Amino acid sequence: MSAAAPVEQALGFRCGETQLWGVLARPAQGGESAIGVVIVVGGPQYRAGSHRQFVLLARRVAEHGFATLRFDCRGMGDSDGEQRSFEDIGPDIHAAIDALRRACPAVRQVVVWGLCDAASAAMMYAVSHADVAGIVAANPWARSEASLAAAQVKHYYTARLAQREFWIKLLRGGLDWRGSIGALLNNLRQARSLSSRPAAPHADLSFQARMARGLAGFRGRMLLILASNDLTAKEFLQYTESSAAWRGLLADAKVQRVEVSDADHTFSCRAWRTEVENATIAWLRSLAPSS
Amino acid sequence: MSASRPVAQQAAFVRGAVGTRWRLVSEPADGDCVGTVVAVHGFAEEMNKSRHMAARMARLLAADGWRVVQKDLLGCGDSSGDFADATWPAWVADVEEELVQADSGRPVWLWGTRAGALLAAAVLPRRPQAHLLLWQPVLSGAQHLQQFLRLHAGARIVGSGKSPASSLSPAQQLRAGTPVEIAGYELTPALTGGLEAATFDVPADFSGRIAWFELGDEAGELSPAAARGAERLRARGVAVETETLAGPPFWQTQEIEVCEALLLRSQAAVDAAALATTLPLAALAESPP
Repeated sequence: MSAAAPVEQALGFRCGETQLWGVLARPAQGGESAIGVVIVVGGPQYRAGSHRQFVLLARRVAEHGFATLRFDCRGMGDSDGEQRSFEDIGPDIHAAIDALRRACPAVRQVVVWGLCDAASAAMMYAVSHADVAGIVAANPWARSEASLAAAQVKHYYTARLAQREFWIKLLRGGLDWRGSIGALLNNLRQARSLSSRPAAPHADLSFQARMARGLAGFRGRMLLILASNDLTAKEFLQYTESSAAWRGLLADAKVQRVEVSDADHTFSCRAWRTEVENATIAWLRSLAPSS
Repeated sequence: MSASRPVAQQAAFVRGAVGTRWRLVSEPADGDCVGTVVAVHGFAEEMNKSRHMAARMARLLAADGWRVVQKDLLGCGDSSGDFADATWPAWVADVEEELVQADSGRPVWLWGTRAGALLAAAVLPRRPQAHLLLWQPVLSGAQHLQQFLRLHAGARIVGSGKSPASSLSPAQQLRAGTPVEIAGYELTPALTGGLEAATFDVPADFSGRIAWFELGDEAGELSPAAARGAERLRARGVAVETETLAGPPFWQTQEIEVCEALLLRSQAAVDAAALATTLPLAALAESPP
């Protein structure tokens, strides 16, 4: 389907007392879907995203009928205020959803799209907003010392053991093998602690447990996009496979999973970016069959 | 400077030669400005990483009475087009347009971050009395491009030509007229040719002042190359103030970093130019007939 370039406008709004800035992209010829999209930026980025991935994503998604807002959280990009952790951006996400709905009266439901820790924040916070019908979670962040250790044991050490240079270095004495084995043992210990840890009680839950709780209680749907060459994505899977709180959650019918082969964490080339855009658009259409 | 004033911000997409540009204006809420500061951002990911530092600077200066204009160049940030649509002359034109629009009766600063310094210097012939605020300025575009290509040597590099995995390096491909995709950015010869040819210099009739700051592990003198550049300008009679401040290279750090010292030092330098311009007038008004 060929589509006209979307119309973009600056959108200033407030989160509490703080001025936030965003850009709203809307379909050029009307016929706007009742579903809108809010892109939440993860990691150390502002609303354009690494290599402008969110600019290009928002334009493509809007070309296909979905009004899309991307914005800077407090303390990031052009927005005012102090920078904060992804565990504290719930109010920013809610403010953006409300701003999108105010600006686009035709939009009745919202999909929150997040990369990395923004995907984690979406699972924790977007689910509590009444207008949120879906989440797109790309390479969600679930890092703990245990999950990092587990992912390293599985992906790094096994790869290392298969490398010729590793053995040559070891045999020539060029390797601090005491240190390496110590690190491996330490990683193994931490990795074990992940699988044996009991489900946390409700109070003082870890953010990973709060993600699980958010997703478990969520009535909408989720598109999970995983890059196959990304440690963050691997850690997330590892975590969800070994944590009691996550058991069965990703197998639920409300979750659809897409893997982008060879792609890195930010989908840093045109081909990978396009795959992500296409998957997002197709999934949005499945949410809104009438549009 | 006087007590800080409430700041008003307005953002809009404005017309460019082709397509539209994101433009954010920060100014005192009462609209009475002492002068204009035109921001010129850095290259590719450096612009993203510096974004919040730039936002903080813009608000500080606006609170001191300046009208600060931050515009995304063609194919950058929120502005229209892909990075592949950007050309060096189009970027120069984007900056020049802001310079031409600035109130001619009041001081104007061009504030260049990293490669933005090359673009700022490129438009000075249009207004040689403008001042320059430089943040870790790039002095050689060729070197900057080389570093960008080298920095991402490990990243996936895709030539957009039909030929299978080229045996040419990205630099060679660009010189042969082939665009390359590197670290998510599509670079074309129309952009990199201009960047490669750009070097930092000011025109012979330049009469503004230059505030030139670098960041390092500890405060002190500029890096040798920058010190030589500043010295050459001083020898020509240009007023150059230089300083290295202790702070992180926020344009390339993994996490978003802020350097308060750079903000305050820059604020003082910019405000001093407003005083220099307005004081004689004020003195004149107050002097007895």
